[in-house]
Amino acid sequence: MNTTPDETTLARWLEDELEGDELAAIEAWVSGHPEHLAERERVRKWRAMISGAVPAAEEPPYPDFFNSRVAQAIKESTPQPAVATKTRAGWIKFLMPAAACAGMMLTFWLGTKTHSGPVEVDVTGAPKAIPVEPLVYTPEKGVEAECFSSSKASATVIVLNGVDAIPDETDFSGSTTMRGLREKDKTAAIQMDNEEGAIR
Amino acid sequence: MKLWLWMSACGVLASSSLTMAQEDPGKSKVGMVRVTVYHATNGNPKDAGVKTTAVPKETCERLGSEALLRFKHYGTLGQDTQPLLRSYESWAQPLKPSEEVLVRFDAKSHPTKKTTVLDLELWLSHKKILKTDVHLEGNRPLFVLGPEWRKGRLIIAVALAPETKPAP
Repeated sequence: MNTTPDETTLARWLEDELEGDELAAIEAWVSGHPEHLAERERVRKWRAMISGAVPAAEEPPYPDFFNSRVAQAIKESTPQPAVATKTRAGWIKFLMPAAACAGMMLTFWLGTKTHSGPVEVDVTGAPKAIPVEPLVYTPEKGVEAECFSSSKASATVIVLNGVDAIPDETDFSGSTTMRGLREKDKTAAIQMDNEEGAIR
Repeated sequence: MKLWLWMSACGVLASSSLTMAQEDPGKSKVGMVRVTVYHATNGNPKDAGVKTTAVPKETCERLGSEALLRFKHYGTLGQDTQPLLRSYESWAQPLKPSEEVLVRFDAKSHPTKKTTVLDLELWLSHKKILKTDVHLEGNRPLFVLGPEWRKGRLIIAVALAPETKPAP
């Protein structure tokens, strides 16, 4: 047999990958070409040198579907944390509404406990406003003001102390502001507890 | 002819200025405030020596329920109701023509139907005696126990006044 092998077959022969009839055929052809034999010897020496210096490559354990198997192995290697997270999330989802309700009830209870002072009664039945202490300023020297919310009178009361008395000579008899007094007030004067009633 | 045109232009200008002044939104009324001055005494109410008006029974009971405001006799000396304006201050002069007691007030916040916050000053004898901010509600007035006068004391009451409907 004197058929010249193609380059691919020759390369496989150089790498010692041929077997059987294919190997025998090329061996017969190479026997007449000593340069190829020398070349194969050189490749063999080079390969031996490389394999001595570099550890042999480890074949992947699962050549088929390697990536998917690696991903599956990763999943299987960490099963516990995933399960634990899922369980905790479920509990949290269940406990959150209950915890929110408990928090609101606790806040409401604390609010009822922190309320101090008498409960104001609005005689008109109108909604009770939040009592706010007004700011009081007395620019005059010697004048002091005491401010408080009177639940009995259902009013804000300011008591001025140290104010100069109005001279008794001051006469308000010329006051014209009472001419337009409401008829209701005039009628109520009849029923007043004040024994003297209206002074006319 | 030219004079007539000039006068017409002036008239139009004046009327438009007047309209703009009337439409000032800051002068719009947002409530009514009533200031009443009572004379409270444990002595003879005739000492007031003036024409006082009887105080409504409800007011008497309300004043008497608070120890510091409790007197045997109450009489109304004067009363003034002034509008609460959106942007401007108002002055109540309950003892007209006397200026012995004056109350200046303006809205501190936008009033609602149930409550109003006022920036309020009480002037006595032309002196600013008290400055305060006060929450007023429909039936929750401010009582100020003020100066002595004729064996008693003046009580200045500031309250929201109901809206008066114009007569038909």
